[in-house]
Amino acid sequence: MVNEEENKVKTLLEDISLLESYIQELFSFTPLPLCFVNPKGMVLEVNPAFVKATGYDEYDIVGENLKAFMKEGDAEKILKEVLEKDSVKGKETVIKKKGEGDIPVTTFAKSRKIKGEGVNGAFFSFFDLTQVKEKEIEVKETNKKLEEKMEEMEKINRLTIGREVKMVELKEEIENLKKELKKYKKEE
Amino acid sequence: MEEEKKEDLNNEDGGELEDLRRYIEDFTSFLPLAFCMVNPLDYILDSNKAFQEISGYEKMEVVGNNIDFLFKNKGRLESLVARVASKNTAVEEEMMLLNKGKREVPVKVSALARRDDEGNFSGYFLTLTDITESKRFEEELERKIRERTKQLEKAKERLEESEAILEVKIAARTKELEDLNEKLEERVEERTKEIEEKAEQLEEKAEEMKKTQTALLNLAEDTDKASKDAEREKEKTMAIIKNFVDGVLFFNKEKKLILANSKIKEMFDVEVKEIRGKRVEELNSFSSMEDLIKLIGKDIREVFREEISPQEGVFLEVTTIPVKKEEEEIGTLVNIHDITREKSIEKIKSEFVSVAAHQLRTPLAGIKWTLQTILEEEEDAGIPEEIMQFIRKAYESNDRMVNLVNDLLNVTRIEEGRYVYEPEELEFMDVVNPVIEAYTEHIKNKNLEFEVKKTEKELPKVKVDKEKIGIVAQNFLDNAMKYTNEGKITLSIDYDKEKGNISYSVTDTGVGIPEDQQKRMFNKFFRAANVQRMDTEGSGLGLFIAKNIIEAHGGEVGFHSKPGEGSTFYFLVPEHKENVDEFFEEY
Repeated sequence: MVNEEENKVKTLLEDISLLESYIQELFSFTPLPLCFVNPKGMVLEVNPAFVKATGYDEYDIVGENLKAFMKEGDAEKILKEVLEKDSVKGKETVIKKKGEGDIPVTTFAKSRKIKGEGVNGAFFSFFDLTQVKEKEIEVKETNKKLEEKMEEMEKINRLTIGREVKMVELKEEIENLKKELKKYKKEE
Repeated sequence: MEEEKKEDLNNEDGGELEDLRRYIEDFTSFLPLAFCMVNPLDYILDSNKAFQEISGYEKMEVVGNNIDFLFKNKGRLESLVARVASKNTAVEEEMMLLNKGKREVPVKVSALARRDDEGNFSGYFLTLTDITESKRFEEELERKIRERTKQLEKAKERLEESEAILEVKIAARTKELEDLNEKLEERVEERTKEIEEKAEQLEEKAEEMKKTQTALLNLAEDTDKASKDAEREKEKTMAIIKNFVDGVLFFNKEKKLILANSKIKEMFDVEVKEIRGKRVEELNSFSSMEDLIKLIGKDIREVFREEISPQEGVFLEVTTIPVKKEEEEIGTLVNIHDITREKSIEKIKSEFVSVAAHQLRTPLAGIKWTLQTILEEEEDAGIPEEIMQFIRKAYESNDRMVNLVNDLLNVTRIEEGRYVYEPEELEFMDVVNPVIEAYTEHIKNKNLEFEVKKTEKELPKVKVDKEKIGIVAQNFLDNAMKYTNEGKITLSIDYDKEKGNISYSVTDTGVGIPEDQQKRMFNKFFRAANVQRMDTEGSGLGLFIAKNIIEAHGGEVGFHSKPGEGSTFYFLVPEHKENVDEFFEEY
């Protein structure tokens, strides 16, 4: 009977270990920057993607308030909203990188409740919009380049028209010169 | 301790395990990234809500299924799994997900291997990120870029083509322009040369002009001098005109009096300043000038030495002279000569001649009667022939003297206007026949041929003084006979119906009249030099009297002559018309 119980406990412990490992691996693997904060906004956990994205050490992040890593005021707003509404989807904000530079992100957040205790914190995930922004910039640049090309085409077109105009002027000049020649011939 | 843990686990319905499970559930359901866990045999063990959304499959539809049904390219999936299994880091690959609706969804797949405590491969996590929009965006962008590039290339091609065409055209036009320019330059060069030549000519002309200017300046000085001289001359002329013994009037082209000298005041008793500037007809308002204006007419006719008498006992002789400057008539000069004194002397002379002639005529008539009586009774009187010859000569001389006295009397009467005419309506031949008959014999006696040529036209009647016309007819025949030594005398009588006059002309083959003396033939007492030598008896009054008689009849008298060949004298008398009376009235 004792052995049976011991085995059961052992299995439970192994399961817990597996789940912890599973959580840890999943948390670590997720390429999406993630963090878990307590209701006050203090970061309790971060994944490597978040560490990589911000450039800070994990130890610098954990224990620090999330607002230190986000655009001023945004962390409080989103946290307040997520605590009130349970989840926040697709809020655009900016994550501050160590040193200089910001990462444009879309923020998803969901509160975590513990049975009998209520909300004990919230998950935050951040979709990096850098590429999207870069794409936007790229689009803008491409559009700009296209505009420039179009402008160039316009210029060329104008030049062509200019040349046509020049041709007309040249024709007129030729006509004038012919008239002048005729005049001279008449005088002769 | 072991006991406590057991207790905890049992007390909490699974306790920490349950918490972990809820944590995983919360986390995976929160995770906005599609996620699934796969075992080493590629069977799906777990998936989250985001995975369900992207694939369209419920969790229960995918769990327990091989993952390869979710992807289009199985080979790439196998390759991905193989790489994941061999690595400890995440592997990423873009792949095509086939969703439940069999729609292809481009996804970015991220995979990470799971390992057990011994490091054995125990499965893998997969996360899927929908890159549809990004792909679509990229594709769209690429498509747009391709299209734009294509358009640009086409445009570039067109541009290049048009540029090429333009280049050709421009080259052609440029060539044309160059040719034209070349021609123009040649022309310009020619013109420049011409202009230079002309400039040289101009310079030469300018030089000439300078010389001319100098000459002109000299000329101007000369002109100034000449002008002053002319002014002095003008003053002199004006002084002469002013002090001229004759009255002088000068009318300009518009017949306006612009000059009159002081003599005019004496002659017409008018102030010069009152008449100056007036037109001819306006001068009629001055009664003393009426006769003058009547004579010259408003158009100032040509007048030569015609007389007027503006006042009792004052006689003026008027002559008009057209004044020309280089063929252009600039006006008319009227010269008025006071002949009152001459007239007075002439009158005295005429009266003397008249008185003398009258006084002479009576004794001469007595002498004629006496001599004629002696000559008629010569045979009975027994006067020697020698004496008789003297008496005959005396008779002839007396006869010439009588004729001369008669002529003188006639001239005096003519000049005094007392030559009385008694016109009557007559046949012209009745007037001249007695004269012709009388001279036929005389002419033949002088051994001259005499022919009378009378027109066959019917002659109209004339109103003439028979005696006076007879004198003229006789004078012409008498002269012809006297100055013709041989040859013929022809008398012609003709009628010009159109002009309405009868002509009487006498043509001789006599000595003729010297040309330089022909103008004076009708002057009083004039005798041509050649006839003076031939005959000393003529008085020089015959033609003067004849001219006055014919003109008194409204006729015309004239002659033409060639020295040594002969002469023709003629007169014309008008056929009878009422105006003939007017002529006689004037005379």
